[in-house]
Amino acid sequence: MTIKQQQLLLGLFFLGIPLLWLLVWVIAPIFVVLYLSFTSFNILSPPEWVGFWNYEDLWHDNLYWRAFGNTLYFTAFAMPLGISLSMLLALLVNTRLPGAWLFRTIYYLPVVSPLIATALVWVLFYEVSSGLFNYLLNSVGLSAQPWLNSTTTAMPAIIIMSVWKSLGFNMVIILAALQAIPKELNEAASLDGAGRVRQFFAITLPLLRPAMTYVLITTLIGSFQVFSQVYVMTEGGPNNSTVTLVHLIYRTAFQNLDFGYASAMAMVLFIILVIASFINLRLVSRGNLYE
Amino acid sequence: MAIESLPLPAVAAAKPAAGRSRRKLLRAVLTFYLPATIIAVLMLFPLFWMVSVSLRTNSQIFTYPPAIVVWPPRWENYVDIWNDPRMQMGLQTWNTLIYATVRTFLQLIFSAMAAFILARFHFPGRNLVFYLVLATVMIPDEVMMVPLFLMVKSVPLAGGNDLFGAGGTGWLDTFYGLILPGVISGYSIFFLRQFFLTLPKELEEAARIDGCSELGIFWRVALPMCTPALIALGIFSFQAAWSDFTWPLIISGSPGTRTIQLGLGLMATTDGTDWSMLLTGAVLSTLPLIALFVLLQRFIVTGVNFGVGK
Repeated sequence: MTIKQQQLLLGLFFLGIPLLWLLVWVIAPIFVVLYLSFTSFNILSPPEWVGFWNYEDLWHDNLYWRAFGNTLYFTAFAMPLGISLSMLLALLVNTRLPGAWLFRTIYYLPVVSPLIATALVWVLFYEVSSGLFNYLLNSVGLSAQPWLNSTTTAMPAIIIMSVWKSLGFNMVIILAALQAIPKELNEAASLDGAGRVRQFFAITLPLLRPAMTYVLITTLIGSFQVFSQVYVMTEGGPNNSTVTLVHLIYRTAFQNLDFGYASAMAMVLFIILVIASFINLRLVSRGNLYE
Repeated sequence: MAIESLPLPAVAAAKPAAGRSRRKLLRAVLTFYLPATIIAVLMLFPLFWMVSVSLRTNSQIFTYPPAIVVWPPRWENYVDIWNDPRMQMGLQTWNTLIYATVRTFLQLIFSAMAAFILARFHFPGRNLVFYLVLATVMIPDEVMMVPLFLMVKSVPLAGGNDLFGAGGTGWLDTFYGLILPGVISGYSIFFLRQFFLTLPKELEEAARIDGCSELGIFWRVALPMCTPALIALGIFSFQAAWSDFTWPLIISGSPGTRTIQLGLGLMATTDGTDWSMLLTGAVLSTLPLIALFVLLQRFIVTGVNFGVGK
């Protein structure tokens, strides 16, 4: 075989199989969910075309808006809290002092641990009568909280757990960006009399922008898809105060067997997330990241 | 600050070196080691608690005030869990291992194949294909659970299905359904392509002159040079599969395909009473990931630097 023939064969085979798989299992589902969102489908009988009915129902569905609000609530707190804390962690461990790698490793361990396994520990922490958190609150003279059992404290409890779980991930990304900043810039600024705070806002932060954009959008996308910890810690309760969008999609499809309606919910969320990702790609790729 | 950092030469020379280094050490302790240690204790505490609770009997878990450690530790939990009929720890560990290793392996192979062609070959429409692959990164997987479930259920000629995918359960509750739909990801193709792009062209030309086939260039030249990237990707992929909850929740219907995380999640929500067994299972499923991470973390740093930090 000539080199050209070999290349043709290799190209067809190597690119063809993954591409086919990608078309079937990654791209086709979009069209399936789009189609189903216009149908009524309970899996037992064939899908029945209902036009925009599902979307109209969504508009008037209080539970859906509740889930939307809960998801926004989660995002509005978990995102700024998580990102600013990871930034502080990254600044802390961005040092050449011996042993810094050990702390980086430790801060990353929650990220490595499985979400369900760690969520179980937090369920015990939040236990009302003998949990550690209420014990600590009592011992400093504060009153015990109902945590996962109350509509007002269940979501904050999930937020605290989620922030702890993912701090290390964003820390590593911000740290990598911090280490890419040339030391000379800070040295020059320091000679010019800029203090450390001034240096951070005038030099470090602007240079971190691509990394921060990435962190911001991926965290946003992740927050909009919260599911597993809700499933294990509260199952959406109490009184639907922790139902998130993905949790509602799961419930609607797999517990109520209302696949058409769940598809409409998924479609709306899909569009929101694609827009967010698109902004991400545009903003981050302003560097020469993709070519 | 500015004045302090520019001491008069005479004063600086007169100061004994030992005193200065002691002050430096004190400064390092106050600005780094002390806060870093406090944070480390806070970050590790839930993991420590997981281990601590796993070494108790159920009645020792819910005491008030809570005990930090219970003595003597109940090591029997780590023996009992393998015989506990509700946990089926042996079977679930096996299932998790198959799911995580096979999916990771296939993902690496397929991604490397596509990435190699996209990085090294020139053909019309290459950029179009690449942007298509890149665009799939935007597709959120959790959102797609409804169509993916239905597609897995209607795989033709599988699980009692006819040619049109109707009548049976398809790949539901099988390892095919658990593993195969997830073996391709746009991100890993993109990630490996970036690595293949950095290989010098002279290398493959030299190999070609030495009589190496095109397949040989991929297998013997390009792939070995990407080992750090493959390991980084492999760790991420393995961890993701090992910790995965949502996908097994949808696809697995019986203990035969149930993974550890799914088993823990289901047992906690349906029979949430045996916390010492649950937490023992949690520890057993967390340890391999932490060990893997600690052993291979230098590769992860390579991966992160390459992927987004640049």
